[in-house]
Amino acid sequence: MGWNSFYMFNRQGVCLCYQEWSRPKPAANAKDDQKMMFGLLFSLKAFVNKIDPSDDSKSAEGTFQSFRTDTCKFHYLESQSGIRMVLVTDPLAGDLRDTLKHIY
Amino acid sequence: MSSIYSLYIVNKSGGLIYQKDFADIARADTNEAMTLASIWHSLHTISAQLSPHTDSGGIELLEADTFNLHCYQSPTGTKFFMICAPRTMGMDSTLKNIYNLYADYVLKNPFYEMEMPIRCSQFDAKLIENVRGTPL
Repeated sequence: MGWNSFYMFNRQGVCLCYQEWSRPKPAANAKDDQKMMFGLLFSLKAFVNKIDPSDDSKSAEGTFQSFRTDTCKFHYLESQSGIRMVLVTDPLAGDLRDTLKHIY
Repeated sequence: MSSIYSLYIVNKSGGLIYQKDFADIARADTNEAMTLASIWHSLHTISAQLSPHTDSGGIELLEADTFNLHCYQSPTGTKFFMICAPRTMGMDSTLKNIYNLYADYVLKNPFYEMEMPIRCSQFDAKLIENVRGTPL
């Protein structure tokens, strides 16, 4: 199963770790790419909170586990301290949450 | 088949042209729905740019704790996205069916203006029939 890349951000959005194994379309600018990724994660989390159909007002804010396009799948894990990790893989990958937890 | 919660249709500029809730959801108002639709439109575009592959489409599936979001983008840029219960199967074909209904009952309606909000009663009826699984 192909792993493309890995990003790890802290709560402030600083990219603490970026690893790349296979990236056919290289990012024009690494910093911009990382900022865009963080921005996407931040906005996706806010979007998920707003569109959530369950009225679990008492529970902590919900989050998402993964999202997939036709070419890749992004696996996401966020720790209690605000560390966010994204693993970009082949779209056919299954649930890699345990892998992400292991990485954490 | 009530694991489908809502459907949103977004035109190619990111404007919401149709929204329907199939289950009992607290929906604040149409303004909120429009905001969500345009946010989704941007997220969809950014995710395509962040893909490590060239020529990537946008997000097709988003898995969250309490729901899944399935999205289909037509070749002309119209996006159909549905919020459903986690692990709901067959959503790809449901979305394709809805796209066919859109083509038949909205686009072929001579009074419908492209990119404008959809107000076609036959589309509504066929949609409910399709999603709920029983004819009215």
